[in-house]
Amino acid sequence: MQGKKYVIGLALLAVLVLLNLPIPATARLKRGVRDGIAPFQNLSFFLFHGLGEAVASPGESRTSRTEKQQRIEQVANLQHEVRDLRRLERDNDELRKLLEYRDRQKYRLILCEVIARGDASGWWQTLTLNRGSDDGLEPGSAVVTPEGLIGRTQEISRRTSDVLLITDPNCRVSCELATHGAYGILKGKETVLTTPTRMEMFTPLQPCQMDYIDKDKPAVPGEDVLTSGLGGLFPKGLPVGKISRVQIDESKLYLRAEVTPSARLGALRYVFVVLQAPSTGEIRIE
Amino acid sequence: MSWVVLVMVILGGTVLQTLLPALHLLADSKLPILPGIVIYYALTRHSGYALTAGLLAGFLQDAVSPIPMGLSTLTFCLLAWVTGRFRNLVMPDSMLPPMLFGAVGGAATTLLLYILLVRHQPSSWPAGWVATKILGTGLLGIFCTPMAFLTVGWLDRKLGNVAAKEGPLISDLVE
Repeated sequence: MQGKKYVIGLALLAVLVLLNLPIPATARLKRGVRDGIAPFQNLSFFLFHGLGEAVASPGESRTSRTEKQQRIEQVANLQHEVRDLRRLERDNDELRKLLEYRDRQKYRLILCEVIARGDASGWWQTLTLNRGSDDGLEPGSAVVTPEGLIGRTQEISRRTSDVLLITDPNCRVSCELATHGAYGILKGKETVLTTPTRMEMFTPLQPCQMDYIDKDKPAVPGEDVLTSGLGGLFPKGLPVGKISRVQIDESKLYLRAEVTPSARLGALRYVFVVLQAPSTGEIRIE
Repeated sequence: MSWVVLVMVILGGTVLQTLLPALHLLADSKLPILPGIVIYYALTRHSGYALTAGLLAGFLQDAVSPIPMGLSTLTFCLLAWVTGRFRNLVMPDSMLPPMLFGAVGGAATTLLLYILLVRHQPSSWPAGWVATKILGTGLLGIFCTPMAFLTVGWLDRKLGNVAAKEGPLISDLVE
């Protein structure tokens, strides 16, 4: 009986200590555990995916897979160059009209592989990437695919990073409409697209939601939504999605639009973390 | 050896819980593997094992997710302590107690975690989604906890941590 009381007392003490740990200590502890578990996550993900790929394409060799990965990087590189050129053209037109100087920032893209989908608890819509602070990643960086924005880095350890997806209700992105430049705040609705499970067939895909759009600036379905750069987290001009539906908010003060993300969040394998780099006149992928 | 099995099983359970996808239809509910393991130790071992399992499982879940440190630990320790109080009342060879405790434990831990999370940060989760998640985790616990009992129980018997004839569950069926 005495022993039981000691055990309960010790457990209570451990819980109290954990609850009251200072934030830097908590962060160090979490980073240490994640780095410890990362090799098992990598191995398990490699086994799951390797098995799946071996079954799906038994004749595919290691060389083909390497070539495939290189082609993915090339396509991403080219798509970002095209996007950047279009933005340059738009900027050029504005500069000619306004005769203002604008400093253009160039970005560094770091290629990462997704090793886990969703956090262990299921409360957040996240991904885990196989790179961390050792590769230069920082919290609060935008994460993109060639199709568009998917989220931002949240917690970083030395070898892994967590990405909070734009479909999570806790993720907010300052956006603008491509055509009219109206601003709004994008946030996730309560569902979705982290995993390509069969269950998704039975539920309608609910997109993100963009609030506080000026009701005097027309927003139409099919219009592109881009990051505005105003929040300080996401660089300007990254594609986010397309408007699927527009309605007036209950308060009648602004418009609300449902946005379908451009990126295929249910089938993510390789993503890019965007880091701001000194201007070198080109986009570099590492 | 039992302690080694406990640590390895919880580590493996954490990796598995992270890797397995959430069920979109049940408000992104995850298979409650860690609560299932905690319930196993609470119903088949003394309180030292149960609380250690709760501590370790909660600590690891907090570490690999954005949950503030200590919340899952508190939740799983409570689960271990409350479940342990019924240890002597459950039928040792029946599948019913793991299913029942899995359902109630899964739902209760989700609810408690939600209450603790909203105290730490403003909630962006709609009430309907949270309710579906609580029910969904309970439903998944009905299937997941008996699987945890079978797996960990088999491991314990193979490594000699428990005698085969005194195995916690359906030992006749397995052997």
